[in-house]
Amino acid sequence: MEQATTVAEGVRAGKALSLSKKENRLAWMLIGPILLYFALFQGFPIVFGLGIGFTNWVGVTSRPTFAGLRNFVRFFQDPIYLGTLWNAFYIGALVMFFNVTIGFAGAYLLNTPMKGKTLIRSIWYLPAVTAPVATTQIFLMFIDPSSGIANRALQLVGLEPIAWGYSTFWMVTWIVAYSSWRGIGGAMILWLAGLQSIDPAFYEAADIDGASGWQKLIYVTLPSLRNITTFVLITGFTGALQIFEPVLFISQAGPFGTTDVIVHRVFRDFYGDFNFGMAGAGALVITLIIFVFSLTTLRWYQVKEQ
Amino acid sequence: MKRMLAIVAVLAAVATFGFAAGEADAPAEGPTRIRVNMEGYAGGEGTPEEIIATQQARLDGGELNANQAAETEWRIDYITALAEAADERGVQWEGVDWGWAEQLTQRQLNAFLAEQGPDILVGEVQMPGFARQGYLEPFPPALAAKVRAEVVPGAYGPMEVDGEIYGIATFPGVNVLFWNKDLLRQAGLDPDRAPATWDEWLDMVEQITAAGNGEFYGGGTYAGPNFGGSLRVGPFMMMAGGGFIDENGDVDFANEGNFEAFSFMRELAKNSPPGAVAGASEGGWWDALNQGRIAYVVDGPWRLAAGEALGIDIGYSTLPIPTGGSAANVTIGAAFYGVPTYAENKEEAFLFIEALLDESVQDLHVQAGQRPPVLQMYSQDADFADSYIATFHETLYGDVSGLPTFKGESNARIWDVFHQHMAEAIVTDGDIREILARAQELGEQFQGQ
Repeated sequence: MEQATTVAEGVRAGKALSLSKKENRLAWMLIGPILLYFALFQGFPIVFGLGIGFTNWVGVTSRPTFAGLRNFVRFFQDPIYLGTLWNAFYIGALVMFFNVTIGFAGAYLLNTPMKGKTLIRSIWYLPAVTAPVATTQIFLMFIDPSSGIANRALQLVGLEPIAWGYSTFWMVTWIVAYSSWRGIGGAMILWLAGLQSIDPAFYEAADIDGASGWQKLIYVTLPSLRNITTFVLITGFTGALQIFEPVLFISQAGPFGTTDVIVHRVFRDFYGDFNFGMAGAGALVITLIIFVFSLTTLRWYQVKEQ
Repeated sequence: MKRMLAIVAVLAAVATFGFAAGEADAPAEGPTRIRVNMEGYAGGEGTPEEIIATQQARLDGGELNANQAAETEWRIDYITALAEAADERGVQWEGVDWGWAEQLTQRQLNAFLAEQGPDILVGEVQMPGFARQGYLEPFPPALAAKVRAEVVPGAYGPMEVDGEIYGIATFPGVNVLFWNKDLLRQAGLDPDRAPATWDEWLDMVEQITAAGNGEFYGGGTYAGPNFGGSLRVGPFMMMAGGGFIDENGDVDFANEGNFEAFSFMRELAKNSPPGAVAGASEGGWWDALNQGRIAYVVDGPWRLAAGEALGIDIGYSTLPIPTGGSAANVTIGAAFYGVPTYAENKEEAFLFIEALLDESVQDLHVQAGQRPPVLQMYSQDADFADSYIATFHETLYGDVSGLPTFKGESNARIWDVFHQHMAEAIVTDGDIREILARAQELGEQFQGQ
């Protein structure tokens, strides 16, 4: 009897093992192609792109040679690289501020019972899926010095037209305005998802306790959104530091280089000077900054959770 | 895991052999067909037959206005003539359209990296740099001799390096002064009189601005912080004895010639709609011309036809020169054709370039009236003495150069520095010498890296 039990257990165990193998195989068959795709078309370029930061590689037909930290030393000694990094920080911070706050306000509004919510949500999100190359051209037409609507409007009310392109203040304003126009919809959707995941019982309890709308926002809504806040901050910061299209298409780093940002500099190093080494180093610096910010934010989240 | 690897190996093998089988199924190869990177004005995508069919379909569609229809008919004639000239030389070809400017340079960069791509490349400001960096083949001696004997020097001069020719613009542009005659009339000026000197030009420009009273301006030239700006400001720097590099090829921004040119450009810039002269995009500047808000512009030869197409009564002349200076120019919109070192069909590629210089092909540029032909025979022909060809050839025989490629590893960075400081010098009230000194310092710093 004992032996029979052992055999039966063995058969069951064998079946379980066989099932586990089958599942394993199925899992690999499902994941394998995408892993292969990722390794070939994303993993390799990422590793390669970061690796070339440690090489001296200038010119299309030249071969890279190991340069150690030379490119990084140059990066941190060059006022132009540091200037573009600072520009990305402060322009990105402005964009992030507007995306996060206005996005939250929009989500809060859309989370209340109102008519046409879906339509408003779609309209708000629409800019996020438009092509920057097309929408920036529309923006440029708006601020065209000769026939732009912005200057015509000023003249209509008796004001002098503004040379937008000659003013750092105005160029930063337009870059932030454009980036926020595109980014607020994305942030809003994230906030909305967070708001909708809050258990209504919390609000009911707050109502019973006689909490005001403001108190519910401070003591119920915001604490419940901590995980979404972390996500919005990390993705917002990542996007903000990598601000590129508005600079390339709207300001072209002008006026006089005052809106040049780090990703645009990397782009110019790579495609302008064919200086792949410096472009790689610049890209790696951006990656490290984002990595450190993400870790710090996650740590903050974990501490708050505890 | 082993099975997984086996599956991957099988998939890879299937893919590889699949592609190989696909190649084996391809029809037997005929004569070699070279691939020619072409630009938008006189090129197209595909074989000559395909380009012509595409253009014919546009014509048959009936949606083109008169100018567009005329341009399309011209394109068909041009491609037909080019195909015949190439065929006479035993060359079959197909066009590849990679766009222009930044997009084109990126694709060409990728072609150099991969060491494969079209057998002929076309481009503007990047081509002299490609020649200096050794990415292009020098013209074979026979073709080089033919070019020197028959072609105006400005068409190939910018592509000469150490006595070798690396490329040629077969319908080049140089900067010319254009003006809206109606605005000159409204300002009480003779619409057919071309200003001969900078002083005379500035005086006319200021008179037009005064007459326009905010409705229209005298204009001058676009000077934005990009190649569109430096291509048009460059001639003025050179005419005043300045320029971008010294005789050793080193960065030379802070010189007296440039100071004189930028001082003059600053005065001119006060005679344009706010923000138009140095906007990041050229669009605002050309809008102002097209809307009749500025009288003078500096541009390449296409502006004549473009202006006429908009109904602007347009005048043109060579650029005015400064007192004590001399005529000089920079090629603009010049589509230089060159053969990359990776090209598999170099012999055929050079024969194709020779076909671009065939009289039957060059005649079509005369007919189009948008770009000058490059054969010297046209400027020697009395029939063309009063035509736009004479104006452009006068310049193309003179001191014409392309924009330089700076020494060192940071050519693009130095250009960025120059462009930003050029715009600052022209449209702000800052001390021009101090701005040039800053540009010089940064330029030298990057040149040394």
